[in-house]
Amino acid sequence: MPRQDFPSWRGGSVAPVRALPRPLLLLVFLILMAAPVLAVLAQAAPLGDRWVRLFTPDTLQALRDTLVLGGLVSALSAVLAILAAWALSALDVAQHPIARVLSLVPFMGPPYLMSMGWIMFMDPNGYLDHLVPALSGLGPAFFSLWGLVLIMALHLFPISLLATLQVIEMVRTRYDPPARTHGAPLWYRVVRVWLPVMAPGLLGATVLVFVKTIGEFGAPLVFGSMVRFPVLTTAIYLKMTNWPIDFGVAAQLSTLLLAVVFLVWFGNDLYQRRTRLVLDSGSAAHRLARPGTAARWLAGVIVGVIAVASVVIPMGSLLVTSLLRIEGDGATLANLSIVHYLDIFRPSGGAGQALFSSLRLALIAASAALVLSLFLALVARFLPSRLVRWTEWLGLLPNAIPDVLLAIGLILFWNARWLPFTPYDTNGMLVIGFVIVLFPFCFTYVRAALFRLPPTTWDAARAHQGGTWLIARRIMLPLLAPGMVAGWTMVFAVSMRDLVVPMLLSPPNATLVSTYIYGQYTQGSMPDAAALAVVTLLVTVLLLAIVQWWSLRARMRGAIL
Amino acid sequence: MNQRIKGIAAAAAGLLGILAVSAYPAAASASGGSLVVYSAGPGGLANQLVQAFEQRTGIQVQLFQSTTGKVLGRLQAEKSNPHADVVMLADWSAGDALQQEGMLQPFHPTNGQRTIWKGPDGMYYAYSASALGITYNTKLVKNPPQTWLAALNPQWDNKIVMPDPAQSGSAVDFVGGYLQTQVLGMNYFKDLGENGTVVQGANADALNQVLTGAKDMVLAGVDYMAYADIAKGEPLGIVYPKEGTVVNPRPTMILKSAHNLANARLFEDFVLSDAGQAIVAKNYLLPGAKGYPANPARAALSSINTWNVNWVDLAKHKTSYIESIDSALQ
Repeated sequence: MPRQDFPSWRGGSVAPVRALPRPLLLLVFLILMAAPVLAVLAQAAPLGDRWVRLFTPDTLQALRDTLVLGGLVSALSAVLAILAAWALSALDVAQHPIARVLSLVPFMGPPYLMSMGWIMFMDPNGYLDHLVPALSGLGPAFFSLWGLVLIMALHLFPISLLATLQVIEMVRTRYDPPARTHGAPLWYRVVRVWLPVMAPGLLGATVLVFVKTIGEFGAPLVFGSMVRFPVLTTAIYLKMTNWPIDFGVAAQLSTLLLAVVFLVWFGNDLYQRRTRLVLDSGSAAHRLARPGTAARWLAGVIVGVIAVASVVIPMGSLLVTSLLRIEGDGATLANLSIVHYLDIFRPSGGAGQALFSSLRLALIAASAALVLSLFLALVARFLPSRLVRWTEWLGLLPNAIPDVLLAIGLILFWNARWLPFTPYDTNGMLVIGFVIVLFPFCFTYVRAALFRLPPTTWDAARAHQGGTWLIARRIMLPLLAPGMVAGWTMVFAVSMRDLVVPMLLSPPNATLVSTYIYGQYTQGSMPDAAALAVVTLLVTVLLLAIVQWWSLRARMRGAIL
Repeated sequence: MNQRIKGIAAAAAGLLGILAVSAYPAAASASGGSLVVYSAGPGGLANQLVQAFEQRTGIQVQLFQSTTGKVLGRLQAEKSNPHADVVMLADWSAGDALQQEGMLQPFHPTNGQRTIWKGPDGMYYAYSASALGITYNTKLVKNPPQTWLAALNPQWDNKIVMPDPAQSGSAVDFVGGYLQTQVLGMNYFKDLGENGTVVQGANADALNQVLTGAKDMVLAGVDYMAYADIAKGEPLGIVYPKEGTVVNPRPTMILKSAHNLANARLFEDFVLSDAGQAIVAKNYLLPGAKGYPANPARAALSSINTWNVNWVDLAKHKTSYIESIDSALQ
């Protein structure tokens, strides 16, 4: 988004924001974000001649495959996000809190389990074979690069869905109606109105998907190993979990990822600056035109197909698997049972404890990330400076680095002997890990919400002698609430399922949902793993629906505090 | 006005503080513990061993439970400031690796003399072992191959899955053991690849493919996992091929940096005692103590034709094994 100046908040009225000391904020981000990254890079540095080994044919091949995968997945998820956003908007449910929560569900499932769900669905003798035997020929085509792309895109498109939704609703309310009124034909409106207006926002969101794709481990390990598509992350994983363990080489490999990510960010930044599209989305000018019946039907079909592919198939496979008394006896009525649910939730089963721990840590992490995002966004909005821009850049840094490397960096840094105090080996380390990995999501939402508010919002109140506190509480907070809730939701939902952080940073004796599921998945029973995944997803969706509903009600009543 | 904002900032800071403190209690007990164990292998086994040990001795144990790869990764990352006292891994060569790094100290458990597998100079001992076999779905397969070679029969084309050596230490061990002892060598894996054998995930992952009927059999799957599933009623059978197979002892060891040395020794004594071995047997692993009977539901060590594997040599070539399997099993 281009920066605009808001003179009315310069001068005396910024006093309250001054209470937030900028150098302190920078220090916090240096410790949180920069320190672990530097700790990892320090491992990569002193290897001398080993740098040469970085450019072996194998590595270059992995780099090329990484780019191919990233490109295909981001292209497909952009298409999915546009289709889904248009359909949700056309069905008039885009603003509905439940729709917002449900649209995140594909991103809430653990990627390796979602892959597993797809594998069990498409396998010979899989669920598809049982449901529609005629389609069993699809298997070989699915078990290829294209299956991997499909699975990953269906998992990641929710990242860009909310942003796409915003742009689409904006076009439909502000930019399309005038063109339509002047009789512009559909193709003209698509080419000259829709695409130019949507491109910057869409590209920004797609860049995020690209970065997440090339940093993702779960699906490439589970599905990629079946279809022989090794990427950089799998090579990094190999170096970090197979003797001789070599963080130096792993760090070097990830400098390649880092370089790619920076090139992509840089290109996007250049483009966003060049387009300098000033969009005014502060207030909806027109009510949304109600689309025709045909369009609504089409929208319904699109939502249905995407929901089936992104949620019903993978999660449905897991649900069915979790309900099989004897997995080898297949999906027959006689074999259905809830025995696996009872098993894991027995007092000695451990799943209840894991669920409770995960909920607690995810709540803490989401709230901490939100507070931190709000501070930084306020400072960035009202006290911009070079220092603040650097701080913002640090805040977004975790998006550019594979989670697994960040986690190693966190161990290397926080377990250093010279630290006077460290949360290492406590649950605090998990909270810090979640906050760091997910801060960019939360910050992006909060910042966008804050920067979208036009200064007229508070100028009007100020003209009526409204005090700063009153403005903050009665005007800013309600307007920021949707962005804040979205950011909080993202951190909470992903913390509930994230595996990389707890796998490497869990203190002894701490089991979270994800490590429990992963333990069952690698060395235990698939139905048990699936059962906890299903329960966790339901609990998460329920909790988020309550939060959304509560925030909507509070906003309707006009005040939150 | 300004006061008020400052108040809010203070309240927010306070809130963060409370959150931090509320995250702390679980932590506080973690650092006050008097024995820290890092363990790979089936979660149930490590938990049961630790619980029984706590009941006997009253010593509080902090258990980090994961896979061999992740435990090794964590040990490596914590190298400058180690936390663990006892480390239990699922792979014999990993014991040698840690010893080469100078991370271990010798110990002499009460029952040390009767362990079947020992590392040099009392550095590590096997508290259990697993054997690799061909695990098959009894509903789909009536006459399973009795030899590794027979698995190349065209009737099993596209029907075999093997755990991914990149994710499963036991699969690497199988490759190493096979290459060290069998004349067919790498050609065996190339033939498997030509017959449509695929690698997938870790052990449970590959086994799941067989349970669902997507594949007929797991080649080189760990046996205790299959026995546990059979006990639950899953339609599985297991064959130990006639040419022999890899039996992988699982080492337990004490780190040189152990903070709770006395407790660590007590724990090792317990693991190798009859009570500890009983828990091992209950989990369908082969006991590490000579003469301690295996679970009657499984094959005893004496009935499995075991390859004489050179673990030190195997450890050296792991990366190249992983890479060559990667290209052989397309």
